[in-house]
Amino acid sequence: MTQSNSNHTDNLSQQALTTWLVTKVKTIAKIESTEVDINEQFINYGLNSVDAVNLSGELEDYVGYEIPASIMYEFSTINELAQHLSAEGNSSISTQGKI
Amino acid sequence: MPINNTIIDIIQDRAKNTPGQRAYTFITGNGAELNNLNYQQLELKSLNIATAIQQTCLFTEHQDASINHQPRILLLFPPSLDFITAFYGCLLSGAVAVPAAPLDFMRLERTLPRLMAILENSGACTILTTDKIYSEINSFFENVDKELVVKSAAINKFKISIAKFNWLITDKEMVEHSTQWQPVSIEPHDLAFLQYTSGSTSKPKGVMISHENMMHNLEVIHKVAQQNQDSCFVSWLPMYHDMGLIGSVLYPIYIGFHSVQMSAISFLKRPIRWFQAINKYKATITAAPNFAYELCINKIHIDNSSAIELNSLDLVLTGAEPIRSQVIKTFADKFSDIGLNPQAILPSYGLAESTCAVSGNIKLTTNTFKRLNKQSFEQGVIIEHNAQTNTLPQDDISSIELISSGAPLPSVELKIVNPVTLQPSPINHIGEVWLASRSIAQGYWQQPNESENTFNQTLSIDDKSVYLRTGDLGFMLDGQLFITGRLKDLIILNGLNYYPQDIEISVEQSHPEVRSGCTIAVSVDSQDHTALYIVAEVRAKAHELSDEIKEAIRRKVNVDHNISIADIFLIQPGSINKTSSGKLQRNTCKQDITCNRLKCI
Repeated sequence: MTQSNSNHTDNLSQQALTTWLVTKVKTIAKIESTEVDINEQFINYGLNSVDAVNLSGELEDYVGYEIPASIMYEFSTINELAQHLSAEGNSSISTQGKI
Repeated sequence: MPINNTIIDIIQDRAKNTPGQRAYTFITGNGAELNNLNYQQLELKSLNIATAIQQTCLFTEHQDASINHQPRILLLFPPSLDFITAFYGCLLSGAVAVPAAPLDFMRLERTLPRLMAILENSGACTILTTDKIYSEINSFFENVDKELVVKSAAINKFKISIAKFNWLITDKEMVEHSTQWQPVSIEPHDLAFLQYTSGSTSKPKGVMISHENMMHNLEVIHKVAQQNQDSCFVSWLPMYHDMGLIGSVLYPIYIGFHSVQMSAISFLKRPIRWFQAINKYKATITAAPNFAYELCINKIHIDNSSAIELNSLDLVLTGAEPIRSQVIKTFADKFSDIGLNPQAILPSYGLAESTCAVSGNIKLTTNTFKRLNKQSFEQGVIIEHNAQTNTLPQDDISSIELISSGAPLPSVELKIVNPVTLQPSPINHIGEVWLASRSIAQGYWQQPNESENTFNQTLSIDDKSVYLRTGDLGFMLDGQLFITGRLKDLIILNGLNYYPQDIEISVEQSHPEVRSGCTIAVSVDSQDHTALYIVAEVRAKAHELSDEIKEAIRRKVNVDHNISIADIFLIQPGSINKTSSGKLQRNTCKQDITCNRLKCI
């Protein structure tokens, strides 16, 4: 059972976050990366609430800090979420609620 | 006459006899113990809450015995031990607990209408909650966008009523006044709690669970679960639902063993946390719906460094939603490497209208899975398929495989009934599941018509019994119950029965552009005939293939089931009707078809 690679010392770039999210969305929606539109709502790729919460957990492991389970409702496209998280990373480590 | 063994007596007995023993533990997402309650602390906290309720709520004398006189108290809690003490506090006060899902401030427009409807239907005027939720609610409405309040009737209504409710904050230092608690005498039909079922948002149905219902269900659960004082339950199930409440909160105290709770969010974020807690506490019992086992299969990867063992488990319950035999087989197989005993998996059937559990006493064996002749199955007749299950190809279309939900629990009377003639179905025939037992609830709160139609039904051949109509279809085979689907979803074409799930699987397999898990099959009745409609999500760029896809769907459904389709609607990814937990909503989809509301690609 793999532990997270949560030892990022540098902030993740918006580009890296976008690529990571595209990979996740394409797996859930069972489509090709090239078909994923980063300005499309997550819900339009068939993400249900179980997927959204699970993805918020995987995202925590990826970025290395705590993320609210409802993040994908707050930032509802790949673009918005990647933008938010890269800015968040810059403005220090966020700790919203317990994991 | 009062009943002499209620959950109140049990709490007091445990506090007296084993005061220092751990009753409940709540763990955070990273597995740390957030708080613990032993039986003495549990009793004291609950009594303080009970006294506060008794001193602020109106307990009117009941001149008319037919009118329920117990105040209803809403429980608005995050997953926590505070929910448990508040629940017991209600029962100890003589009031009726009304558990509600915690408010999600991110999606208030969706979560508040349901809460408002529950408050209105139950008539609860006292709300028990935590300091944090209470201040969140107040600060939300201080800073809320005025337009949102004007736009949403439920938010507006809630804002106006906040000041009118009697709020009891149960996690703040409560006055130590448990000595002022007035003992209550419980009659068998006195209500313990209202279990609101998902139903429609506008008209949620509050299943009335009496103290007697609760005790009877616990008694029959124990006959099968057979846990003892050294057992341990690890659960992430929401405590405001019947499986979490009856199974993981009440059953442990009924027997006197430790219950370890974590939030559903902790599990959903990292499914492995469930396994880690089972390993740490050497849990003997756990429970979850089918989707959770599927999530574990997809998300938990075993390697040698994990050091997680599941061999302490002797009961792994699956219930609360349709059980898929492939998921159970894969789960049992995948995690047997880390000590999971496949025999421990216990498929079960239950519903809130029967308190919680109905059937489930046969552990997983080869007998749990039955392969049936498909042609006769469509006619509602059960004939076991001759060939050995393992010699058949996966896509064999002459047979289908079903998983049993176990045998009816002791003292539960179960009948398979023809839903049209209301006569018992002949042996080996599919019919509606009807139930009679002391676990059957008292009805739906303040909904006499719905209560009558569901809870007060008799067979056309009067056998002097009153039954609960479950709305579920199934059959009995070798003493075991098999659930085949919901009565209202059944598609009847030319006198033959088709389950939407089976047709939907064919649709998914018909063309690679059709998205799996995102198709709906429904029938629509008109004056002279019944027509089959298919709604299917197709991948984003499939519109130029639309004719080809439709043709493939027609062909595959015809080959598999020998039926023809009236019309096919291809829609965009994510646009099929689903609930927030991802269940297909066939009925709303049907309305969209008849009202011409579907947006095709």
